[in-house]
Amino acid sequence: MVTIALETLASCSGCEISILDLHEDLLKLLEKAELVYAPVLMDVKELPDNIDIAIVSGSVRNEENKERLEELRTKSSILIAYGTCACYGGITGMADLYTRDEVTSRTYSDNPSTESAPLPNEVVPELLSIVHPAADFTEIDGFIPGCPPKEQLTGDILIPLINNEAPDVPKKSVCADCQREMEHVEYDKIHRRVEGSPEDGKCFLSQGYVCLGSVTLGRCGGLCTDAGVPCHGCGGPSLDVLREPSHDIYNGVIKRIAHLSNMPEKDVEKQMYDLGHVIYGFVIGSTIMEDKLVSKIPQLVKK
Amino acid sequence: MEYLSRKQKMKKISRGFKMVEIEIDEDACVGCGSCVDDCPNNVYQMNEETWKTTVVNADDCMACLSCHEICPSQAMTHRDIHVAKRLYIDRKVNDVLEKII
Repeated sequence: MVTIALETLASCSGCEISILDLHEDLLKLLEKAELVYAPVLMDVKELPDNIDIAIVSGSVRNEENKERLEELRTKSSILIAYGTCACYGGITGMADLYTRDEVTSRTYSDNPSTESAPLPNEVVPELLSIVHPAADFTEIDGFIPGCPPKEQLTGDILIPLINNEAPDVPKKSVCADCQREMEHVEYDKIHRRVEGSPEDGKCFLSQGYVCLGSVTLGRCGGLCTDAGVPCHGCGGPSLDVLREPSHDIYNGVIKRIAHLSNMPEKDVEKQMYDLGHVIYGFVIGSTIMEDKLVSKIPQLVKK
Repeated sequence: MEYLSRKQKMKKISRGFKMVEIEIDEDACVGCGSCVDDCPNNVYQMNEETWKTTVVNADDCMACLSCHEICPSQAMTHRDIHVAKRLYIDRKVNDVLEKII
């Protein structure tokens, strides 16, 4: 039996739930594997020894997360960063748009909807100064980005893994799955996502909406674009963006919009808004995205 | 001195090298035609019926990968090309890249 542990760090538990979403495939998984640790499913506090596959989700936000992650590394033979938070900082990384003190005071002392309280100085673990993806602190053996990774993908990866086979899954961008048609249309105004209603069947970029599909790792089936919502980039950067030092989510989107709309890149840049949420919402905590010379993340984060 | 067009020059340079094989993933192609616009050697053409890109001049491909760069859905795969011509390779990035499942 292969032993599997699911650990949640600073996370919403959505990633663990996505593993449960395997439905019948979960039985296939449990034929050969045993879940030995999963706080989201069972009453268990301490990590057992000799874990074969440890699946960690969420980012490292406080001292306890860091300790847990290190313990997980020593007790497991394969450690997988599961979900965009563990891989690139994800949604939780947006806390980096504020300083640690701003975050704590908003929670405890300066929140308009609750009574002000002093900051706790015991029991509650201390926050680290910024949010870190799991790979910042320890050696990771595999990354599965996604928010959360979709159940089909998870099944296609986990089932071969426990059988000691190499998973064979696509690694293309969201556009590869999206059914909308991209065409060159001249326009000179970028719309906010809340403005107007985008036409069905036509690419969001061709209509002047900021969609991150072309710079985002897909395998989600284009669920959002199918439902009429532009891609927010929850899958993390596409492998092309990640690989090339001169490529970044920001300049990738700018270039794509300029190319499709015939607007000069400078004009597109002027109309871009709220980069921290719209462009870098899911990767702001990632050091590899921040280290790119073309990245705008260093201008956005407060440390 | 004989005058050679850009295309002829590229052909001359590439003589003796193995031809590039380009594979198009039609499911992935979104039909934007960016590769047709961007390819310096007119390797691609849109299929009028399916409105997907097709390779019409694979022999002229000089493996600059402009098409790969512009393609929003990474629909093309070039086989038998040497890609390690980048000036700068980030080992940290490569380490992560190799491990993405």
